[in-house]
Amino acid sequence: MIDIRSLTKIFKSGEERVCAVDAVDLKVDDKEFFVLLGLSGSGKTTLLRCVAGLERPDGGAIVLDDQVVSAAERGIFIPAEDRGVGMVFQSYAVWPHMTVFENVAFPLTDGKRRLSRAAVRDRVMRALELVQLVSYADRPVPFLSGGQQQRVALARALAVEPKVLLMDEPLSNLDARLREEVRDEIRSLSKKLGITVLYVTHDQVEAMALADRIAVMSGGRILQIGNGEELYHFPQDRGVGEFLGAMNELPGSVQDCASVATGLGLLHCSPPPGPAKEVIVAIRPEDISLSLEANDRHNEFAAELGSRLFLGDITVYRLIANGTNLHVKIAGEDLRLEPGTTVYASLPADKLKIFQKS
Amino acid sequence: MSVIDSTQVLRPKAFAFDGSKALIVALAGLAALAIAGLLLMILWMSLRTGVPGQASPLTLSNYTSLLGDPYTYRVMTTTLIFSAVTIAVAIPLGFLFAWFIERTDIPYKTLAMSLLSVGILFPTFLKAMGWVFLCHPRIGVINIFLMQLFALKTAPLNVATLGGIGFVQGLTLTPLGYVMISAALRSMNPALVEASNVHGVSKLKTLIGIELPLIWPALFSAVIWMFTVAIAAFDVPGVIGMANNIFTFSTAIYFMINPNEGLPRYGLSGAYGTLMVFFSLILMIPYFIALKQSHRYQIISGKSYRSRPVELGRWWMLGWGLLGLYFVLAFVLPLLAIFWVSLLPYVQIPSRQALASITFERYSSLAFDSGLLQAGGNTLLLMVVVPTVIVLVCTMISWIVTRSRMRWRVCLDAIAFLPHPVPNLLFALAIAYCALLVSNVVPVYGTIYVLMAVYIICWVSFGTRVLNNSMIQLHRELEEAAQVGGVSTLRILAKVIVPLIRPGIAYAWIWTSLSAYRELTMAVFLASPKSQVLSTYIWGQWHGGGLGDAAAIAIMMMAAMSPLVTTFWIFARRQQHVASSA
Repeated sequence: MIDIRSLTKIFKSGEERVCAVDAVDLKVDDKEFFVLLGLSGSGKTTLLRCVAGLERPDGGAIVLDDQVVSAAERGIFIPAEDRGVGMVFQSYAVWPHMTVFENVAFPLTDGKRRLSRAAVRDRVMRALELVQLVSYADRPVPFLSGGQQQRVALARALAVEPKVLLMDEPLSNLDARLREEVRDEIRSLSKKLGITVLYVTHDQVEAMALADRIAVMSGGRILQIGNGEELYHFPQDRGVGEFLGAMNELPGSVQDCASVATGLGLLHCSPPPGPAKEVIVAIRPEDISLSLEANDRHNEFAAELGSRLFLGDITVYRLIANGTNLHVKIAGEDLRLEPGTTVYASLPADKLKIFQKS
Repeated sequence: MSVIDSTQVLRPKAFAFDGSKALIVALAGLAALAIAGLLLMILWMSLRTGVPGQASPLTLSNYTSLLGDPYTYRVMTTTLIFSAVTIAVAIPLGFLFAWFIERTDIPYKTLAMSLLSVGILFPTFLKAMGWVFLCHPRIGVINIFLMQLFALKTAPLNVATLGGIGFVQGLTLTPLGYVMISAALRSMNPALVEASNVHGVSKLKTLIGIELPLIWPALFSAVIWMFTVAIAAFDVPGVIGMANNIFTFSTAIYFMINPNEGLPRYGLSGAYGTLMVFFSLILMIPYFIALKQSHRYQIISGKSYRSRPVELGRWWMLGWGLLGLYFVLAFVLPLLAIFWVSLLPYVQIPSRQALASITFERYSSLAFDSGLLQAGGNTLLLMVVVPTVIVLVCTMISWIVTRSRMRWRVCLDAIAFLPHPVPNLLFALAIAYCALLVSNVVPVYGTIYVLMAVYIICWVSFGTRVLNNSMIQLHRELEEAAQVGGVSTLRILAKVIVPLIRPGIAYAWIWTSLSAYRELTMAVFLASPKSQVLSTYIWGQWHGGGLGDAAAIAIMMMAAMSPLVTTFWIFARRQQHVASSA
């Protein structure tokens, strides 16, 4: 549905040239919910705006629904108003001088694809029904709450019946509880309507909750594409791993094809073949298990308990083993260990991720 | 998904011309061309001799006669002294008022603020007339009163001196000084001052050691701006100075075009004009450097944070005493004097005998004066057409400057700004010259349309400042949301942007309408018997010796203006816009 080929966008400010999107290739399938995940400045929003037609790419091509909308090398650029996509903006961008109905209707009455009055009314009410705002149709938008304004923006984007819906951090201005609610609503709506969604966020939980597939971006490039599990458990890049959740990182050097020497001690694992000797071994805090007695397992180390942090659903322990800090998350029942206790931490070999040292 | 070359290319239409953008660019471009064209016309004038339309070789003779004439240096000295006196009055007063209003707990702040802001709109030439009635050596009421009281042989006060006109001009520019300096004080981070107080430094030491150095760049830029305004000032030197042989640059140029005898010397006035353009543009360099400096000390946090005001105690009386004295000198006395003169058959000091001869005859006879009625009609026409066109053109320009990504938008903004520092009378001079050049083909010379055109061209600078400011505050996504929805640029402008910046538009409209009402400088260069406006009608009466009639019309003009000023004031308060232009 969306086919992006070696897309490049350069911003110039004075002498400085920043490559916001750097030769990105990406294919989004029909009816797929695709999330672009990255920190601010990673180029995800610029990429989205290129697809919308709000930025003119400096290189590469974009194909939307089998139609070339942008091909820099051939001088093709279809402006935003002719692309027929729907878009939800970070600031909602609902027009404050119009009512809810007028906001949703405006693209249909004044846009390139105008409809008859009756058809407009029909479409708008249907869109408002989808977001449960029918009873608010005649309210001026400034009187609505943030969450309701966000739904107006969503209804407006859906009312043009787009094949592609673009969303730019639509939940970042909502408070935490509302965010989860609207998030689930967005996911089920998109699946119900069967539209292709390209969604930008910096929140990895949001990305995993929403996406069929996620692309993690950094420095204008895509680091890895995959579903939530793949990215979380098998990051190909240290940046991807760090971005999706906390990791204990242990610098070490490869001894042979089955072990790496770290500050913690010798770790049994399977480092990738290659000339690299210096690597980083990483493990997520919840993948480490603790026990009070030694079990004589592989990768088991005696450690002293440094501190304990109770967070409700989980408890975070900081351990010191052989002078190395380890963070461990224990879910569910708390072991109620006191600082100073000696425990045994075991790092299962299949949970260890090994990255080349950059 | 197939390879790009085999896929269909989505095209808006075979004809890829965006009509709405073209219209916006055309309107904005036309305004920019007019501004740049008129400035070049000044230069062109200065390189030619004779009357417009007459064959003339390009020559530097105007410059040689300008530089060789001691009169030029006298005018230059006069202008400098006049400007210096103006600044010496307006900046200290403006600073004091700004400090009292922004930094202390002086009571009735809103009243003081409103009186000062509205004061900018009070027609300057009327104030000048009032001061002639007060302090002229022969007819000044105060002078006659003092002479009778102390049995003096000669008048103690004389407004018709360089110091006198500088003082009056300074009084009229004090509100501008206040506006510029209070804006600087308001944007300065109050924590910097509080940090000094907390660590044991006294209020006065803080004012001298912290506050003044911090707002020094802003103060300096205000001084430079005031200087350019004073160089260009025409009203006060024109009303008081000209009759007494005191010429500044602006009145000297007027006198070259309207000499008592002989032909108008357009070439020489062009050379003077080029000199003035040069000066005012040179002054913009330190102005912008100082402005940039002053921005360094501004508050960065978005939260509005106000420092605790200085507690004045009983000193508030000193503050209001100064403010009161200013209002009496700048508004009450001149207005009373004009009103007094308008009621008398000839100028007298207030006495029982004078009271007995009071009559409203002037008013009743003027009410049916066809010349005055026509001038009133012309003024009204300008007050409606000029702001409407300005608002329209400035919306286009400001959209290009703040919203589009067109490559030359910075140039457009710079050109639209030019009429701000460059004396407006030069634009009037240039357009008069143009109108004369084409008068055989298009008989526009001397019509009201020439006035209309030059008002529009000059005040585009004001309109774009206001609308740039309004548009920059609109979130870009509001526009992009409509764009993605398939709405064309012109429609977005009309249905999304304009409704959202309506307060700014209303403000710009009313301000330019009021400016059209009170404008004298450009009007006297262009008005002919058939295109009189109220200000030039008063000017004509004044220089024709009909002081009483001039005074009566002035009073009527003020009375008619008050509802408009009130409307403006309401809008300005709602907008929190403070005018930074006189």
